[in-house]
Amino acid sequence: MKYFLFSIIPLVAFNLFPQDDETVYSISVNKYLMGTTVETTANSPDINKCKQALVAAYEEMQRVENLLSSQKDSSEISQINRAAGIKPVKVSFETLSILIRAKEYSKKYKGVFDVTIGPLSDLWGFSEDKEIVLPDDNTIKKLTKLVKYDDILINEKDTIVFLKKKGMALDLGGIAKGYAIDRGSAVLKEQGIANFILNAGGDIYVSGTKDKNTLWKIGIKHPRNSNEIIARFDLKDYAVATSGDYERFKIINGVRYHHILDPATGYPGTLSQSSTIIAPTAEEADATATYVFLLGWEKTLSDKNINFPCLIVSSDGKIHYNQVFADKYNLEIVN
Amino acid sequence: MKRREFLKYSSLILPATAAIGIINPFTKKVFAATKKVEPFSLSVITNQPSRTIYLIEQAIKNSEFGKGNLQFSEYSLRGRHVGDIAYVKSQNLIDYHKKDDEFSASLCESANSLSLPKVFDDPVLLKFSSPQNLREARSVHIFRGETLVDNLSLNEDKELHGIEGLKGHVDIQIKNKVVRITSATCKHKTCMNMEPISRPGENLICIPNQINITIAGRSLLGIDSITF
Repeated sequence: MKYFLFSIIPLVAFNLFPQDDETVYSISVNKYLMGTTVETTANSPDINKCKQALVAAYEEMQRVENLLSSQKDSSEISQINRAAGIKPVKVSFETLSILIRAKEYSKKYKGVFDVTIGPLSDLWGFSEDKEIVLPDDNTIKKLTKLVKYDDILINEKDTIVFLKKKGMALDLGGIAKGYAIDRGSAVLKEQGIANFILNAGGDIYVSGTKDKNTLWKIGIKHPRNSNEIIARFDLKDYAVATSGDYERFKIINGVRYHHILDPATGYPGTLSQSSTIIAPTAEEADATATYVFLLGWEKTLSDKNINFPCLIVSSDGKIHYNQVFADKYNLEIVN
Repeated sequence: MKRREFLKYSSLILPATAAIGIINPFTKKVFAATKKVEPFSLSVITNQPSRTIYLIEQAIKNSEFGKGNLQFSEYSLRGRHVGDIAYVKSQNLIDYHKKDDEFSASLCESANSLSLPKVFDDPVLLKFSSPQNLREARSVHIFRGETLVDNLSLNEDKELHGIEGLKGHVDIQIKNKVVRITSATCKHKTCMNMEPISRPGENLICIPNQINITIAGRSLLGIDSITF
């Protein structure tokens, strides 16, 4: 076994640091998954090998979507939702694990992020291709009572999940995309692709570097001018996610209604235009970005849960960020 | 597909960013080449992508272009096309059949090995190119899913109606070098609310219809990817 390990190490080192005289190709793929475009750019000296790795990574992300999407009738999450208030549902260990983490995020973020936001998400309909109309206020108030992460009952031993009240629904939109990115990134790494950016609808995992001397550079989209960025920064072996009020929205009577819903009111959050979080995993970045978007800059500043680099564009368009973002990631505000 | 049409697709090479299927909207400068070589690009229409990639990789490896960082793209094409190789160096189309240099000779061998030219149904278009950063946008690429369905000039005013998507269709307008979606059958109409595009690397996407309209070239924003 010892000899086997010694034989592997030089190969890995070779792949991580291609020789100077080697041709390295930048290969990108873009597919529609999880209701968005998932784009990966990977650098490799071997195009066919890289293509194989990319295919495997996209298959893995598709598998995660099939497992966790509440938009797919066959997913385990849809099965749990259909059985809400009726009966417990036996789920896979993977679904169970993500639900345990989802509940932990909901608890950590004091219900401002709540994975049982499903009834309200369905009511507003931003996740589906349907015309957005302003829901009735009484209906919104009624449905907010169903949003309560404590009412997810999880039996770890028997891998059983039960939503306590009829009408409750899980919506993993706040973390499933992040989890899929983490899984896709893991597959790419397993297949020997060390330097890549995986971007699923703006949530990103960055692995390695662009070349031997250059870090990957990430931009943060301008919330009110889709062709511009407000800032750019360097990233390596970390994830970044942004929640914004500009991707899925509708202006009704001069008011912007968007898809990031406040569980307390049932209405879209009003304190931010966008929030960007850097975290070790895309899942954590995804959940935290939603939380700080709803929390707003002032409360985020004093929140002890937020020890991640964070940038928020508040509702008045002002850009705020913490020191760790500026110090460690070469943050450059450009607009 | 006639030679003229083949050249229409091969002319995408220089401004194109690396992508399989759909152009990367925000890809930026890739690598600084270790040695200054003349900008080049190769377009190959083939029905054997893996083998073609291998042969071209070998040809590049042994050429003046082999010591640096390059972009690779792959697109699905619809319908009947003439498979062939287009070699462009410093923006001049080179007749590699003349075997004027070692690289042309290698390409000739590759073409023979792949039995090119030949007519294929629904082939793929492979592109290998050095990472130029063209600041002047010239081409508009239209993708449905992973298929490149049209390539238009940004310099010609045009309206295109009924671009078929997954669930319906979209209409686009190119006017004064600006592209916008003027109509879409999806319910959200998010694509119609997007800012019109005019610079390399910018795109308009209709998610329900899986239509992506991209201006070829790398983004000028100085980034490799964008979070939103």
